[in-house]
Amino acid sequence: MSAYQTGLIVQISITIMTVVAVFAMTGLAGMFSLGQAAYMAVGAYVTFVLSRFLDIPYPITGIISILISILLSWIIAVPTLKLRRDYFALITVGFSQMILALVLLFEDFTRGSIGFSKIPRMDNLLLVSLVGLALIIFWIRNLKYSRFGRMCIALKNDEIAARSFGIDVYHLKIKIYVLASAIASFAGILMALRNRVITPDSFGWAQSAEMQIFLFFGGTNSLTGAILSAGGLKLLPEFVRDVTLFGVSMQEYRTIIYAILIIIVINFRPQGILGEKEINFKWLKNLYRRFKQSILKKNESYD
Amino acid sequence: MTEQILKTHNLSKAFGGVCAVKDFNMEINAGRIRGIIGPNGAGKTTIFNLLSRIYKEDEGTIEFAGQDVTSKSQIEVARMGLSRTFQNTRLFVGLNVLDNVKVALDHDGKYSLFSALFKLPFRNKQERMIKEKAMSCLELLNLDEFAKLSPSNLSYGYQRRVEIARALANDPKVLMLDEPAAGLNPEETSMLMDFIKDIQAKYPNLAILVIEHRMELIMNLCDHIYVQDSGLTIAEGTPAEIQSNPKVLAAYLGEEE
Repeated sequence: MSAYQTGLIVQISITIMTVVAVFAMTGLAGMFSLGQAAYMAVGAYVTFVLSRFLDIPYPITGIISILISILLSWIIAVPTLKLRRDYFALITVGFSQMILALVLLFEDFTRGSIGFSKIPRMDNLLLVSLVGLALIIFWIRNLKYSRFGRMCIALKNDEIAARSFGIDVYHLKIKIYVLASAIASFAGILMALRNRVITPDSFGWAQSAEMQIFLFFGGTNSLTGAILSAGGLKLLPEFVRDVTLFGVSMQEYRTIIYAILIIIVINFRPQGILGEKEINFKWLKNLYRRFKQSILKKNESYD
Repeated sequence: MTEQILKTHNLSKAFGGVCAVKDFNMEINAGRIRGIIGPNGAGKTTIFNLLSRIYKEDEGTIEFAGQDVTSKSQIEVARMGLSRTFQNTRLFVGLNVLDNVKVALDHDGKYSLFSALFKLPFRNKQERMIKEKAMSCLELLNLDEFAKLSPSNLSYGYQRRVEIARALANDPKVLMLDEPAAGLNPEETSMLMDFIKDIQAKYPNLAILVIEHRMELIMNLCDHIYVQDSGLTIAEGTPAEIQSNPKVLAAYLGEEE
């Protein structure tokens, strides 16, 4: 496999990871956040800055950075999750700007907008990404079909009704938000290892918005929808890399393409491509049965 | 049975200058059905929202299961066994009928987030118990055939029943029904009345409190009725007493003639 292909697979697994985490937060629990990329930044910067300046191997600082993200997201969640949903979304935008401002402020350590480079090479990055991705998908799938998943869907529908069934809406939301943020920071570490350089503009709010776009495109109520749309939409610009428009590669227009796609989806299929469907074994079996039936019918009509 | 399960004393609530409920006194015993009637805007739903602690009262006390619950939150009284339905059906979209019933049991689930994420054996055992309990609730109320369906595929009358089943799943002490027949046609309404009587027979210790503005439903169902008008209790008593009370006739039935 060429380095380009490996890098692409790692990048796509990172994207899917972040979108799956956003699925747990927005799709299940209805918390609309535009600040998840900030936790990626925390993961990436804390891991490698600490590793360099304290001379500790990065797997250890990686764990520290995830713990810091957990603490940070908990501190953010405690006051803001008492607010209404739209205010919560606004505060997450502010929070992500704050993290990026801190990166620029501590220029001596982070090298500011020039970017923090010379990140050590990780030989089995592909394997780590794929195993991490599989584990995270397994977790979130289990979450969806557990009592926590059901309570999340209930509170997303109607918080007052959820409370009338004894569901502690506030604490449940904090748990899910912290979980999603921890996953995002892990994805951030992988992204730094892949790119070998960390720049603040790769964690801007556009990055967070991209996660939401992927989620809404696939369907906020479908985990497999989120996975497929994240993988597909991330891969899409790679196919049009050689096509040029006004002398620029189509890849550069990807934000515009995403925006157009999301406008189309929101207008014509507001529940997302998959809606509430999950593509699982049962679904495939049903599809196969219907396919077989339609072939049988066709054969009959020929007779 | 003389145990008073739910009791209010001089309960009052005003929104701005508008007095929604004034000096409301009621009590209900286990195993009984009582009703609150009154025209639109009489403050009936406000009473429910006060009892289930969605609103905080201005004055008065609420005693539930022998405890003063005025300082408790909505979640706490729900966990103590005060269950309710809402005026519009509020079944959770994205969950099937069985999962909707399970939600009522989930706050009491014993397994942690950790065992949920890793799908540990303990989680599977607990999940089976939750499923059995939810299923037995549906079976008891003859709704088990709809377990796998999405609520939006059910008729409005059945959605109402599922909602009531969900409110009963956690074996509450008091069930409060907020206009259970709203939006139902006469046939569905009479089926719902049979359903509620059936619940009373199957849950002998359950106290049921019904809000309704349709007379025929409440007269058949309840053994004691409170009549509200503009926040005040204008009459209370048995259905027969209410039907002959001149104040009620003037304020409420008078409009229909």
